[in-house]
Amino acid sequence: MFPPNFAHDKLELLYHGMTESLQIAIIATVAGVLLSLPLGLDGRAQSVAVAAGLDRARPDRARFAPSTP
Amino acid sequence: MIIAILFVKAVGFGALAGMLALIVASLGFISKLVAEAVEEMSMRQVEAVRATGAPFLSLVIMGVLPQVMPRFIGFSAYQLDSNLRNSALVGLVGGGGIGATLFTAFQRFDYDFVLTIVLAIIAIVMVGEVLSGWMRRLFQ
Repeated sequence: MFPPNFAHDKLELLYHGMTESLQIAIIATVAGVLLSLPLGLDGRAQSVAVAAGLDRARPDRARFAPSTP
Repeated sequence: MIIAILFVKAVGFGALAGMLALIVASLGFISKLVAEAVEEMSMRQVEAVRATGAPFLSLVIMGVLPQVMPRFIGFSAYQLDSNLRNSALVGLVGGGGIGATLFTAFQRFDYDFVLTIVLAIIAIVMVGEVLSGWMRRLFQ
């Protein structure tokens, strides 16, 4: 257990595993965050649309008159 | 971790399974936080952009995104930090990366190397923590 093994072949193995882990983490974060942006906006898109008067189904909820009848 | 097991069964051992599992985990978490951020932002800017006759996509890009961007960057930094930790975890169930190396070393009773790996993981997580904190301070 102690002391830790810092042999050269082990460090090679460690380096490969660690770079792969970092790649997994970074790619997953970038892809997940980019995909979550439209998803998260879509969750609230309706409230934005209503506030902006875009929701034709509920013009009564608009804060100003819709420009298109 | 359960999602990781699911993806290992679906696409086989390797980094792809761990990546997909982490993507799904990040997706749910970040989109929930983005939705909350969009909910509590000011609608006045959205109305102002709408008043210029902008279509919906421009409305989102010019009215919504600038307001949520600092918080969004903060969420992303936190998620990167979290994924650095979780990428070690998904390796244990066959998701590739340092977790797979750790698991192999543990099964070979190569405990000296296990200690090396654990120290390296701790170092990486601490560096990631410092980096994400620095990034959040920079943008807020």
